[in-house]
Amino acid sequence: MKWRKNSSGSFYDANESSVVYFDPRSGDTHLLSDFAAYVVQQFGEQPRTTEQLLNQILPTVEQGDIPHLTDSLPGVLEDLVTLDILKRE
Amino acid sequence: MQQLANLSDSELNQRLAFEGLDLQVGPYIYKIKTNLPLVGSGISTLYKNFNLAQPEAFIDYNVAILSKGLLQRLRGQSDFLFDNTNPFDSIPTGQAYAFLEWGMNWCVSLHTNEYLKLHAAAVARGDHTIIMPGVPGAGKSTLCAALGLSGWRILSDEHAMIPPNTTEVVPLCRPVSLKNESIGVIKRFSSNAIFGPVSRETHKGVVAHMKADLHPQSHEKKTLKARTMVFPRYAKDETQRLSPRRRTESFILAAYHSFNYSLLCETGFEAMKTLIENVTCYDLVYHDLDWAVNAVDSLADPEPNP
Amino acid sequence: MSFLLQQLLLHPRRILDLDNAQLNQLISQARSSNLLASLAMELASEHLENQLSPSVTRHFQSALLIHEKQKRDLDYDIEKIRLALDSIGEKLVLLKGAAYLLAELPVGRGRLISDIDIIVPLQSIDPTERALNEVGWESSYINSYNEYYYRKWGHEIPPLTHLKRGTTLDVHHNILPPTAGPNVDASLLFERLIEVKPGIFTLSRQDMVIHSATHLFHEGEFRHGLRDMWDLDRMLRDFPDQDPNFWKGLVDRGRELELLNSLYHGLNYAQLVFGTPLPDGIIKEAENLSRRLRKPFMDFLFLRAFQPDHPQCRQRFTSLALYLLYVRSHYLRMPLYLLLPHLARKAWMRHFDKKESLENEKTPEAI
Repeated sequence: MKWRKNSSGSFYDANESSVVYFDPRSGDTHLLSDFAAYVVQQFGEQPRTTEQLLNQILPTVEQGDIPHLTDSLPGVLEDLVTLDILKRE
Repeated sequence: MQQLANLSDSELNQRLAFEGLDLQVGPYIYKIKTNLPLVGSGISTLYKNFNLAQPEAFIDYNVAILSKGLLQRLRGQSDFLFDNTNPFDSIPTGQAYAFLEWGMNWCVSLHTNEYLKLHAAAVARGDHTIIMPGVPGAGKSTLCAALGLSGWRILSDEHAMIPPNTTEVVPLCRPVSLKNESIGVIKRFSSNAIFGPVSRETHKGVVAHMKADLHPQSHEKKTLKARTMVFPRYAKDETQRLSPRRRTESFILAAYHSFNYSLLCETGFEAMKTLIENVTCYDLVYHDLDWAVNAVDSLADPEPNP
Repeated sequence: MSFLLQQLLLHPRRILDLDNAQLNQLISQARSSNLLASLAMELASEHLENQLSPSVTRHFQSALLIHEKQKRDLDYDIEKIRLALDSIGEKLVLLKGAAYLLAELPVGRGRLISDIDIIVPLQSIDPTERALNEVGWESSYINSYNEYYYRKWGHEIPPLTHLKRGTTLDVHHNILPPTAGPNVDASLLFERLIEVKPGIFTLSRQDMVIHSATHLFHEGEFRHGLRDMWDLDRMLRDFPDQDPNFWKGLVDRGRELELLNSLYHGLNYAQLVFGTPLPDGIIKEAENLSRRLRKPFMDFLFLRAFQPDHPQCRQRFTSLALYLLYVRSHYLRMPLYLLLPHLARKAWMRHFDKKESLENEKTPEAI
């Protein structure tokens, strides 16, 4: 299964544990966890599989966070689909 | 500029009943008409020091509160009119003053979009301007009234209007709306509070409005730079505190309490981002009004004189 | 017809001659007729907005922002509705304002909408409603009488509201209720659809005009009479350029749909109110074919109803005219024995609907 970003929105990142995301397609503004926002930022025009995303994200995070982030990624992707920020392909 | 106070009672009543009273309220001009003595006396008390618009000026909002015809008068009913049409149901004449004020808010809430409009009070002292967003019941108006009675200039009780991509607040001073227990709280807080007509049994309970233009600069039009955003919350059983809050959460909460954030799309997002980036955000949990006023004072004046 | 708003819609340049009192009158007429954004677009097309003072222009800009936001929201909602209908193999066919905006027609310039109207075949109503429920559109009518009325006598199901977005969606299966008298064969409408975007359809141009006229004369919404007449005028000026055969079949199509009466009135009053250019003889043709009505009485009703909803325009008998039209439009829609209880209930319920709007006056919008 692949995931694709629905549109390119704007972020407000104040170095806190949450990030504001404005989705121009739905007009909705979301308060995302910093990790969820980071996941959204990994998407370009191309769709990604969960594995591709993990390969992209894990080298950039601290060693100790890897198991936790690996576990939470599928749930984060589902949530982002529910918010209509990502879609499944 | 001529003030409402310069009009004699008969001139005021003449205008209210016939050609309309043209009042300058912040950046807008209202034309107000009424045939209800109660409303007329409320206006003459609460808008006494407001400027009259220049003759022949462009009117932004035509509002009226009228009891028309014998039948409506016998029933004790009145209508609020906007653009000479009736957007709401008739209301009991005894509540007419409160509805005039709500109707005047409604004009700004719904029909202007040149500013990002937050549902918030705004107050200023010296060069320190504070925006206070709040849900109904959060104690925003009570605190705003108390600050107004403690030397702060009330910029607005209801609409903090921000020109996009600035951190400026456009003053829109109008009477402060107080409900139920807060009316007594403010009367006890200061004997200087001046109240208009009391409206009973409204959908919000008992409502009275307090004269808000108590500061010598109340009617200056110049915008003021916001420095702080305070989210007040009245909580009887909690420890009182003034504590910093996160910017991102403040962004979302202020956007939620905005009349047109969503309507402005990208412009709204960028406007809110500029504002939030440039203010410091606080939670203010309080139950003692004197304590809350002191806490807000301390923001403008970090080292008060002993 | 010498009312300010009508004049300015047709001749926007005249705004430069208005004094402040007239500008105030114009803007409040346009605002209360839901035509402020339409007027703003007419001004913009002649680059007039910058020649006015900023205190005046801001009102036009404000209305344009609402219009822009509605267009964006509509694109988003329409895509979701299209997918829902696609899942049950049904086409998305838009009606009225949503159709004008999505098809980017001149009639959609500055057109404000309050809900989205779509039409599906009668036999698809139930699956459509289920498919829409699944993606968050829920019936807002929990009131059993209204629900019963809609389902039994209506040409649409009770309005659906999206739980998260708050948008209202009206799902029709016909353009007139079955009780209206004229018996519109809705399947005829589906034979001539135009695909305006992939998977998104509108009625044909002739059917759009006929529907607009029908809506004007059969629904009880005369408060927006002038706006609806402006829709008709815009379409009647634009469509003949897009389709050389537009006029030719219009009257025949009106007859085929059994809506010639409405068409006749629509053409007649568009010409009276906005001076809409019509080919020679078309009104005569429509009139000859349609059942003759008591015309002087109808003129009295309609010309008053089509004034902007504003007292400076309200002639002495307008309230009476509006009331009679409301009764007439219900009379046209329902057998008489049904008429009275419904009107009585509707007046009673309206009281609560309206009151609610004031109570919510300060409710900040959801984001």
